[in-house]
Amino acid sequence: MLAEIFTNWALPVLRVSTPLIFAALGGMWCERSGVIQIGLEGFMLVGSFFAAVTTLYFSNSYLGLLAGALAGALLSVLYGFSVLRFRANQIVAGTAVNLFALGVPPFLSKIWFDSTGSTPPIPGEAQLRFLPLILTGLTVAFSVFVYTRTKFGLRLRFAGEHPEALKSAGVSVAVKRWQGVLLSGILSGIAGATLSTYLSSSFIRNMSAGRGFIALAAVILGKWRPVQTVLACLLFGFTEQIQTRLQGVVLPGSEEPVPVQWIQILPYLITIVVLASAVGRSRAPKALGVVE
Amino acid sequence: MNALEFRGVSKRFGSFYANRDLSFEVRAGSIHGLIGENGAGKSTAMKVLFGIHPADEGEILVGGKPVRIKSPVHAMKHGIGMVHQHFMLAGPETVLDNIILGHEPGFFGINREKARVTLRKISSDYGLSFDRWDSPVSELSVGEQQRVEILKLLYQRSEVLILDEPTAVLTPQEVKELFQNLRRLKDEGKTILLISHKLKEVLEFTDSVTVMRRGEGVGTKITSETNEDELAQMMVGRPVSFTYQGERKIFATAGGATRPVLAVKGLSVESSSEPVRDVSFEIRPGEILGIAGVQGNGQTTLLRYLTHPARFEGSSEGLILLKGKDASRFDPLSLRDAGVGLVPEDRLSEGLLLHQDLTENFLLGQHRDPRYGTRGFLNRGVVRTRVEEKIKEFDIRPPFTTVWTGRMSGGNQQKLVIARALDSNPDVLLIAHPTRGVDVGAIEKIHEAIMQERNRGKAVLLFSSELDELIDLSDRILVFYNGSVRATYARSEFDAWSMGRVMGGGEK
Amino acid sequence: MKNLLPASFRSFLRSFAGALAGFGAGLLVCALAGESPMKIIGILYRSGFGSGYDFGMTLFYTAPLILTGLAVAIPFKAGLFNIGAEGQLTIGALAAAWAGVLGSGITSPWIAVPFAAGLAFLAGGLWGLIPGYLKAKRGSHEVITTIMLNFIAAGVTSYFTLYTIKDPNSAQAETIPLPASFHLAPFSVFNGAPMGGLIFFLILLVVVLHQVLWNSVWGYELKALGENETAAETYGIPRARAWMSSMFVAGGVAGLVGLIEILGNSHRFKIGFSADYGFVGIAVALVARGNIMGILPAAFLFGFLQKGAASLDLETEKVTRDLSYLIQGLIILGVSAEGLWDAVGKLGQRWRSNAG
Repeated sequence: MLAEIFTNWALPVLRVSTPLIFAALGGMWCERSGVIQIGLEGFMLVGSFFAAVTTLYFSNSYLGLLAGALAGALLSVLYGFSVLRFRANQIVAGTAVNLFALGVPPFLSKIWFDSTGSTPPIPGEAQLRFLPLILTGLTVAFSVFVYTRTKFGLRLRFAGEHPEALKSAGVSVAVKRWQGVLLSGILSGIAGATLSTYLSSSFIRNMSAGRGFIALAAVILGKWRPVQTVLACLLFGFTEQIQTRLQGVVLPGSEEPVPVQWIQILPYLITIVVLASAVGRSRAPKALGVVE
Repeated sequence: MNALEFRGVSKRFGSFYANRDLSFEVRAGSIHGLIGENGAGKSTAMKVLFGIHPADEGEILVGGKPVRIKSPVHAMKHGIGMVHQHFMLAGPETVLDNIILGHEPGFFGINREKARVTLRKISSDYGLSFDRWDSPVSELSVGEQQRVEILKLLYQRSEVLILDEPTAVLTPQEVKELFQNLRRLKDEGKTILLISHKLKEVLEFTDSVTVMRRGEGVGTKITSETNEDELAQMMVGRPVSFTYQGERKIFATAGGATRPVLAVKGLSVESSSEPVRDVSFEIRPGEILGIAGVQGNGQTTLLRYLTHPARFEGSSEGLILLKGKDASRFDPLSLRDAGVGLVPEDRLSEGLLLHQDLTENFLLGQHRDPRYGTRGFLNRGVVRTRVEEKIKEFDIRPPFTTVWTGRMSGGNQQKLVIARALDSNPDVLLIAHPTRGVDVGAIEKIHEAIMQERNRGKAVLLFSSELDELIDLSDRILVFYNGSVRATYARSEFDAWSMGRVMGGGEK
Repeated sequence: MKNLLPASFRSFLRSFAGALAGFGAGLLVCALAGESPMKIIGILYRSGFGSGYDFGMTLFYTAPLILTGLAVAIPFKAGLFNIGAEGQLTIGALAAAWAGVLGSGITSPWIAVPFAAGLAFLAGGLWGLIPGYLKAKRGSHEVITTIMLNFIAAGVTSYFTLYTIKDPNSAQAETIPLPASFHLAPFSVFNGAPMGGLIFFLILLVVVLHQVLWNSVWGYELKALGENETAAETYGIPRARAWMSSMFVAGGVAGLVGLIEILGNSHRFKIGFSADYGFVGIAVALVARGNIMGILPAAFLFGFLQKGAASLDLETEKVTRDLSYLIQGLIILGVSAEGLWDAVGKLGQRWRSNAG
């Protein structure tokens, strides 16, 4: 019984939650530093594409993971330059990054593989098995530690909560925000990499499929705190798993398969309800989106 | 020895001197007061000290040595720290983290135990009892938050502590505690610079005091050798720079010859920062009623209430009668229809659309006026003609309807705001700080416009932090203190000294 | 010198330069992929204007972007960021398809088309009203709620498509086809491109909305609120009403995309029919810089680009239609990076002072 729950539910939920957890923690760091981050989706997409390509080329998925992180980081640098250096509106620039990222994989896959936006399958032996799970655990533990117990965490939080106080304490707000943006790029790049090299065995068109936005929803639901954010990711992972399990299932007494659409929209619906309730409003970092 | 010295410091913005040849000394180990009305140049002096604005002339000495301070962080390194009016504290974070920010012990991780030990020692050394290190700042009272700010400065090893209007937000008990604490800090060798406009506390708690007016230092006194009258006189000064020379028409107001246009009866408005407590007054046609008082004593709340009573439903009591009718739950549009014109307190944030042209700004609040449009649509031709007339009448420059108001000078912006307020031919005018940040030429024009309305039989409620201005224009003046009217002056009784005293909490 | 140019003209120049920069970067990317930029330009030109059919197709790509551009620009006047045009148009399009099911007995196109349009407007409008209401009454940030509502719209419409009004004769995920009275006829000059009189209706809509926003009390209130919330409140402009009404109109306008795609082209609702029109609408509104009339050329630019990218897909070895996403992203970044233009301005000043 216990073993069955583990193999049918606990492990699969953990598996599908990995990309969400990486991306959400990245988003949390970025928003904590005071920069709105709706570009997670784009970072994930380029991350998963380059991870797949690199894994294919070197037949090494560790390098693939690294390449995913790097690709996410590079795109986050573009975002960082736009919003931190050139003061572009963070929402507009985030949308731009997402559109841009939508175009990158098909454009390159045409050149490299002559395909319309997907990569050839990754050989089974190069696919990741347990590393992402372990990495998730380490990242969560490290994030919680950094968040509460380190100078870096404290200062980054102040950059989003009270930048003037940070400045008057002699710390550069811009540097903290750059670090937040970069962290979101790296972590969502890894999140993307797990999509193509761990949860499946190739990159397919528009692979992130809204997970970047679900991750953002988890950040909001988790009130911008690491543990709660991870819990929200697990909740969303759980709904995704229910969806998968119920796909095409016909319940007794019914003729049609169960409509999974209603479960699909749950994460988004929960987020709206939380936002609209009194609890959800006051918890965002005070200086989120406020440019110096 | 002097902990701090200003030597002939001047700071100009354009042709306007915010500080002019300012000199004063602060003895080490003393409490020094820096007092003056709003706009006297106190905060500019502090910004110069903290390197936010570089001085144009003069020099600043710290511990006897001339220094060029480039930034607040740089000032901190010279041992100068400041408790701002708005605290530099993040509400959700703990007291400890707020204090140690930027100077956390430890290499990568924070050694909070070590910080706690240091802070315990500091708080016992300086007699600042405090033990809620792990509470979020937002759970602390305002007085406690202020103590956290002071602890932060001590943790950063500041020798000179500057407190900007520290009592503005405190209860009387907290004020007492604060000054006890400051005395202890002084006894331990710290230097304290207290910026204030409250005469009483300066007299009671400082060793010496420098008075500022219009950007200049009026003089420095040993506190024990001066008194309230002398300081008030120095603060509000006399020679008035602009006096209204025109007509002041006499209206028969005695014995109820005219009915009040606006009557406020027993008005109380809740507010965490500055409540209004049981205020009553009346204004009659052809009368300017001046509202005086040090900022934060209820005037702003009163004005906010009068411009939008509906917003205060549930947090206010009392009655306002507009030409005899109850207007206590009106919104701005119904007030306007009932004959009220408004010149708001802060024209930039409340009065103007800075990225829109004169015409769009002229329409603000008037966009539903039937003269300017019918059935939900604006008649832009009529509006434009009207604005062109107003430009001529008020000599607004540049004289084009298509100029963004954000590109105009303060004086011309204010002329537009006043022209707009007068356009509906209101019977009551609520005018706040009409000449704040306005150039000399425009001041005269604005004063004339206000007097002209008065002479036409309009009632004007005039809020101003410039006592000169109120004395010059008003027929009567109410002095606010602590949310209520502390004294009323008829024009024949006008006396700047006396008013200054009352503003500081003294007796008429 | 700088201040002598009217603000609107300078912002137009900025948009133009941003678009040009994004476009140039796109060409550069193509060159890196091994395609000659001259060839690309040639293909793009022919794709846009080569024949009546091509021009009609370009207009067909332009039309939804006019509507989504409006849907972003109108609430923006009141200071709201509508990221939800995608969801609003999906709901509106489904409503248009549903109108055909409900009104299957309607034989006159003069009744059928307005019926479908009304339903699409209403459905999209109500969908847009949700974030407007949440913002006005509950203080929920409209960016987050509209993003979430996009996904919810996708889920809800696919449910109705698959379970409620599914075409029983089709293996695809699509709704029951519309009766002929609901079809919009294309122009013969466009030689088969699915674009007809609707384009004139859209142009008229833009002109009317421009007039309404510029000349009406409603438009004035939106503008004042978007420009300065405190001043608007001081002078009695009702915030909640302005926010909710602007989002309703925006959602309704986005919903009209259903007319183009459903009534004009596929005659049924297909899951995932929108090529991110809602998001490109953000780019359109941005390039138009809040000027409602400017939405027409901006939408045409992006429509031209999308159509052109599709042609590049067919006519080149290396370039796919997804190039348009790359270029759109770059154009948005170019136009929105305020500081970039300050930096460019400073460079220009230095250059002038060196030269003079």
